[in-house]
Amino acid sequence: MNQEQAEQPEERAAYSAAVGTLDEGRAWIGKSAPPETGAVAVDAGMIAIFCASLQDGNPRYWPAENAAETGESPPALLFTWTMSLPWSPGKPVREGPLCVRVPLPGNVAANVKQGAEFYRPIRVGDRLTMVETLTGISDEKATALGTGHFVTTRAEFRNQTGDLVGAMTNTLFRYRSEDGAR
Amino acid sequence: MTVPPLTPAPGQSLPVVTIEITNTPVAMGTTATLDVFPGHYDAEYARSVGHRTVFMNTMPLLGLLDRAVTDWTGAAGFVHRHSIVMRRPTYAGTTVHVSGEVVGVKEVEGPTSWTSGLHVDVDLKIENSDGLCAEGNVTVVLSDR
Repeated sequence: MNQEQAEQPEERAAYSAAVGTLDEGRAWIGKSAPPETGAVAVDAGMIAIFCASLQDGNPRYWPAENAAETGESPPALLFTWTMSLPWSPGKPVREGPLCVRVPLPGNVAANVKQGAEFYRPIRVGDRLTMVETLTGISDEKATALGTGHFVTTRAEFRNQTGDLVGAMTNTLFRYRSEDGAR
Repeated sequence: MTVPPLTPAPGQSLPVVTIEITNTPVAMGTTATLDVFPGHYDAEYARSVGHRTVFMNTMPLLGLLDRAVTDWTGAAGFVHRHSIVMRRPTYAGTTVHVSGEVVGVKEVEGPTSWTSGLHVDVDLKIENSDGLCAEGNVTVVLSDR
């Protein structure tokens, strides 16, 4: 390892949670992240793997060969189309979504709820961009997994022509893993 | 295969979707969604943070709700809205059943052509031998789109 490599801080994995106090976290409420465009365009291969994992044969997602129209993405993949890759050449790893980036005591995350609305199909080849806002952080709660806070975020998704494709709300639990009851 | 036209009405039960959730679909689902959180593919990590083993991530769970509804409607159904609450992790090594019931049907003029038509609201549950893993709701639109 050369000097430059030794001095670089260990890169935090995209899923790692940023640790801080509840007050530090609550200062983020109402803030929006800069727009984030997906690392990959809506992709037929990822759609096929996703559908295969669920054995979902919906013809919308499995276009016939030589079909005039490109296939559609399952709506469940909405967030994926704005995510980053864990590595790409020459670019720093993008930090994870706001719910793990916001400083809070919880060093581990478990997702709790998600809801989304869709206004048009997501098509193979589309490039989606998301704008996320942190909308709430609960008081401390104890659950079977551990003690922590529920973090709620909202995001809007647009395609490459600026059309609003959908909107999503997500609640994720940030907890301390040492407290975890088995 | 010809499918009879759907006449949805509140109280109807959807055909139950059953699927074996092994490490393989859990890993495929986490990779295809770029959700690289190790709780979904690394059992040792999952156990270290309070879990029994690897568990399905949110997006494939939503995908299961959508599948139960669109298996029933066929490709004509456009998923306009969906939501899920995870009650407990959906662990690998279980057989999962997705059941649904129609709770509302109404004609709606939506903001786009895909969202205009017959809106069918369905409440759904995802269950396995551990109990209720998740519950949710899907609004599917039947129209000419």
